[in-house]
Amino acid sequence: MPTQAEGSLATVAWAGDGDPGYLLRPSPDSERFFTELAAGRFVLRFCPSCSRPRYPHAPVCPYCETDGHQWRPAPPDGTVLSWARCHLEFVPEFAPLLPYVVLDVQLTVGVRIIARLAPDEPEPFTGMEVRLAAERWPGGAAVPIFVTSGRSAW
Amino acid sequence: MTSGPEVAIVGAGLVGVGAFREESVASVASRAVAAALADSGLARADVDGLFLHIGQPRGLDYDEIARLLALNVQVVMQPWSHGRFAATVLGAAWQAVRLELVTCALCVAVWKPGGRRAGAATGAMFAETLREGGGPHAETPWAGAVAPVFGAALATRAYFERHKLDLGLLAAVPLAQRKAAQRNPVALMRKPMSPADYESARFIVEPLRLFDCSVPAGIGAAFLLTTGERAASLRQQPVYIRGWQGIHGGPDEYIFGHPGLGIDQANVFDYRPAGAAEPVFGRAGVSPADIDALYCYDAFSPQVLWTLERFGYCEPGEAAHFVQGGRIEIGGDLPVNTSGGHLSEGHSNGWGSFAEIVAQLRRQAGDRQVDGARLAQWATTLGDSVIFGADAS
Repeated sequence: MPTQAEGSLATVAWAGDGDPGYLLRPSPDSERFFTELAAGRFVLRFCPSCSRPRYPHAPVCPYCETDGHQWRPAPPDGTVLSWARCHLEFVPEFAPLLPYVVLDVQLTVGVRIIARLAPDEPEPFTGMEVRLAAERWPGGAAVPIFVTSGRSAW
Repeated sequence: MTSGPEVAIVGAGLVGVGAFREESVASVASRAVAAALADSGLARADVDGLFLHIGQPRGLDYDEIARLLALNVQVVMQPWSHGRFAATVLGAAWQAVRLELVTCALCVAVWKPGGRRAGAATGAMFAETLREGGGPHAETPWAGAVAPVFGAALATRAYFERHKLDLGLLAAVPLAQRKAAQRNPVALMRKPMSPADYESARFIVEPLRLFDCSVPAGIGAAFLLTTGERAASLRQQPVYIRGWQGIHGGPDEYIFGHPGLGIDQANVFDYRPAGAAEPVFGRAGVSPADIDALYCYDAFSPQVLWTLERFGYCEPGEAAHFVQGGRIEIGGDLPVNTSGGHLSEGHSNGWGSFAEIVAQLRRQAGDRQVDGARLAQWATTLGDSVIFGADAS
């Protein structure tokens, strides 16, 4: 079960093998996203002009073409748009999680994010309501993962 | 099309689809180039443009290739060696001859896959999965989505659910291509495959099964292009490049799906493909109904469906039914990927399909020969396309 402190994202413990930290290489554009996530906060780049969020963390607004961004908290709620289930061991750290589910989620804030469904969650389906949580890896990193329960700070 | 000389493929060399093990990239390239030169009757000294589909994670840069293969060239182009760039490389060669920047363009493709599957942490492909934070072609490594098949699987489910289609319909694509591969002596997978074989194969990333995914392979291929005028005096029946259009990019394009499915950052919308209005048809002066055989970039089987829709062979949502009943098999209304394609011949980064097109239009395809083949199209889910003809116009 995810655990959650007041006013922050739910947390999911890493249930795979070892530390998959080598799979996360934040770029200068995404570093802030992952740093905030490790602190339990979900933030996105918003346009300083039209205020719309974007993902991935592009340097220019895809809607109004304004350069630059402001990092702001965003609500973590969304709906499953598509899902896939991995049956093959591609990397050893994920082997104990097989078969694991990867979701394409439409967040209510207006962006889509691809991330795993947490272990022990129900069978996924298109249209399922989910919430973004932080999966904590042994090396201290955190990555987005989706859960179906847990009260949002929003 | 824009004015300029007619351009034709006059030589082709395919030195195998398979593993090259200890052989160097330069050696594979050298064998392919020698085969293409011998096929055409051109001499090495005739080549003045070099268009490479070699590089990252293994390979050589153009300067080394030119030096090691004793080529003297004045125009060079070398993109990243993803399969999606095959028509971009061929198109650059076509453009250079068309613009009279060169008189004889040589395309060389060499690909040596890693010892393990793409995405595996020890595989040669893995470094590219993690470049610039990851996720460059349908991958999100930190989410456990460490290979392109994850994006293809997400797009496949979105497509089949949108159109309320039975996923079982997908089997017709790998089954048809396996049948074709049985007639192709260089295909890696020639064993007969039954519907039960397909359905009992394990999932790789659900809903995609083993036989929905291409067969990892190495490729060595070389093609020579020159003007139609010069082609007339050479050894082989010329295969003309009748029309070309480039790869599409943008926020709504998705490498392993079609626009509108909403995978990753692409928007969700009702996709109305340009179909027969795609510029490649106008440039070639033909319509989809004129095409005798279609070749798709089929890293994953659903890409055949999306290509059929994108280029106007059927309406959106109809491709899964369109491919049933033998229609895309050799002898069917629209033979598709008659070499077996990437799904059964092997993942040739597109070049095995170009070799097949050349063989078909020269009437050298043996048991696989499509009756009366005069026009063939290469087309991908990303919008790039080439129309090839046995006739100049």
